[in-house]
Amino acid sequence: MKFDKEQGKKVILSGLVLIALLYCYFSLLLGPLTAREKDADKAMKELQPQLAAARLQMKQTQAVEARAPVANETLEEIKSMIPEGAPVAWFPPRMVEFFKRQGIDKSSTRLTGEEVDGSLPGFRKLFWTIDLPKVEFAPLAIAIAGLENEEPLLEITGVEIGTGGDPQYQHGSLTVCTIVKQ
Amino acid sequence: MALHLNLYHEIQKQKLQSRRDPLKLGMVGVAVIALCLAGYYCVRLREASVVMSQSNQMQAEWDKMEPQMKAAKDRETDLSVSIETSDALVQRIESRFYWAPVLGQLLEVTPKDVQITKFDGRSTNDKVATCTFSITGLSSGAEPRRVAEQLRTALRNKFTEGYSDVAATFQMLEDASETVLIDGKNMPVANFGIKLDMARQEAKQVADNAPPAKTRTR
Repeated sequence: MKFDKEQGKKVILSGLVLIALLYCYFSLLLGPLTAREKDADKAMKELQPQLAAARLQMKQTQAVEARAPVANETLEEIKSMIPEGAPVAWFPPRMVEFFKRQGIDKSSTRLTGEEVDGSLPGFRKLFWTIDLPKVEFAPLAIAIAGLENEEPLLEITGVEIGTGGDPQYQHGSLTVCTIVKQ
Repeated sequence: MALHLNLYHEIQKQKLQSRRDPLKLGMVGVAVIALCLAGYYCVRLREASVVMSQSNQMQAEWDKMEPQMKAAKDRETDLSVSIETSDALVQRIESRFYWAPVLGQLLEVTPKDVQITKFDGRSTNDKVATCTFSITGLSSGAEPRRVAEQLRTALRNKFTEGYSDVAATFQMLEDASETVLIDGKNMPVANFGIKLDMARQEAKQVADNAPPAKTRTR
């Protein structure tokens, strides 16, 4: 098939129109559409793990919330065992009263140290020495049993029983650690 | 033979030329291609809009969940602190070392011919509840050293029933120059010092099974 000059011009023009059409199609329509689709797909891929993590977090929080009432109740119960005010104001009289009830009239309590335990936020440990100048071994053992039963927040870390000034009695000394509010 | 004269041949030629016009044919071709491309674009547009709609849904969900997640995380942190504190306190209360049973058992195993003059004990509750105590005293009888040894063995056997890793060792055992009167007879005396180390059984089992706890102290 042979084209004359006029027809040749028309064929070239058709070709140019086709090229322009294809260029516009790919650069103005299909290209941006594909780019938008890719962006959306990328955003989805990024969001999927975040959403999964968020759902997991919600589940974990729900599980923790289910455990919380019991723990809070226990915590409140423990806090209610600790009197308000400076421990040095209430703990020594409490010990004097306790040992009097146990038949040990003479006792003195002094604060020897303080420690903050990272595992117990809101609380601190206080160390005390309870001096019992006139005790007998068996009544002291009974008093220690009573102290350990009555005071769950108190831990006896040291016991010393030796001869004192009075040969009829022994001299007792207890090192105790108590938990108090910060 | 009949003669046929075509008087319209010029017109027919023009029509034929017009039908075979390359520009017209090209435009038809371009139109067909454009139609195909438009169809493909529609298909792609539909696919892309599905993806974009899903992405928008997820974004909306994330926008809604993100503050909830942050609030949940903060709440979990607060509650975890309470739970951990409560657990630590309960654990501490339950794992205390009790001295009363130790003193009770000591009273049980101490025979008549032994006088304890000093008791010194320490307990720790860091990982395993352990206790160390030493007793100093006087033993008397025909063989006072043997009485002291019997006391040491009795102590070890008694505490082995309720505690683990029990070790009873003499710190000192020597004959004294004085004598004591027992049942109307003068008996020789020995001074002794016994040290006992032990750990609470259940606490040791728990510590063996549990991972090491981190404790911060000031």
